[in-house]
Amino acid sequence: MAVVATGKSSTLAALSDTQLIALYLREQDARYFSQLYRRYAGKVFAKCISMLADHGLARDATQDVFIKILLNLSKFTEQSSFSTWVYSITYNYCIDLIRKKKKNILIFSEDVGRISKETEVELPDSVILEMETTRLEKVMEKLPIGDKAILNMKYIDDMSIKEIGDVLNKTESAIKMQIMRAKHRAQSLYEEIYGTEPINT
Amino acid sequence: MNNSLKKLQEEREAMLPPELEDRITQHVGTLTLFSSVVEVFVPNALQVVVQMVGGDELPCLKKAGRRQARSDNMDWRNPPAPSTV
Repeated sequence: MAVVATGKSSTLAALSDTQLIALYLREQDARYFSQLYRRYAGKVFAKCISMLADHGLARDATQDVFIKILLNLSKFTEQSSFSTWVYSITYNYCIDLIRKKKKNILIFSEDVGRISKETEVELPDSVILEMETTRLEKVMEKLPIGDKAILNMKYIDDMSIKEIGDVLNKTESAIKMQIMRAKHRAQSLYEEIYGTEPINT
Repeated sequence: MNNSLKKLQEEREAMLPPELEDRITQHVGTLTLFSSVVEVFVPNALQVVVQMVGGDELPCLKKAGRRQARSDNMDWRNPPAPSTV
């Protein structure tokens, strides 16, 4: 630990998340938390933009999420990785924020109430993953916030179905169903906006 | 397979406002200072209140040797013994 005290950022960069947390809790030195911030701020900010679709809101949300992380750092139990814990705080913060702002908003596609039999058919991941990025951005903006969260967790954070279920407090089968419905919803939104043009142009 | 969602995420990561780090660092500093202030002053303030209402010293604040030093003058109902000097 004496090496850490020299304050070289390269030394801090070599420490794991759990080591940084333990050092911050013991020594209350802001440098350790700043290192965690540098590791995750970009990712948290990107998720906030994806969920809230507003640059200013995303900036404020990122700040609030990190304050929340700071205040709850001692409660981090290592049952999941630190990154999963950080992302779960981010997703739940954004969903709560939208819920508070718009009381009657749809959180998941299943809330739309007009789910057809077609949505029970499994779609390939390429429906989302091979969509051209500017088009994907437009489609994602129109998805319900819960669907955005689920697709981000599955395809960006590579979280398992169980981990997604833990974050959103839902069963694994419910999560599987919601992923499928989110893909269908994304595809139908794409068709509404771009007609029958190929997805990866 | 291509992953457009990850590409989009990377583009957005680069848009992180640089001033945000200063704002967070300020908050971290303030909260750390606040917690130190609470740690130093709140137990003592609590001790004062407890003693004002006639309570004993809080067990969590007892320090070794302190009890013995104070116990000589604890019974204020009896006047102290006259000085022999």
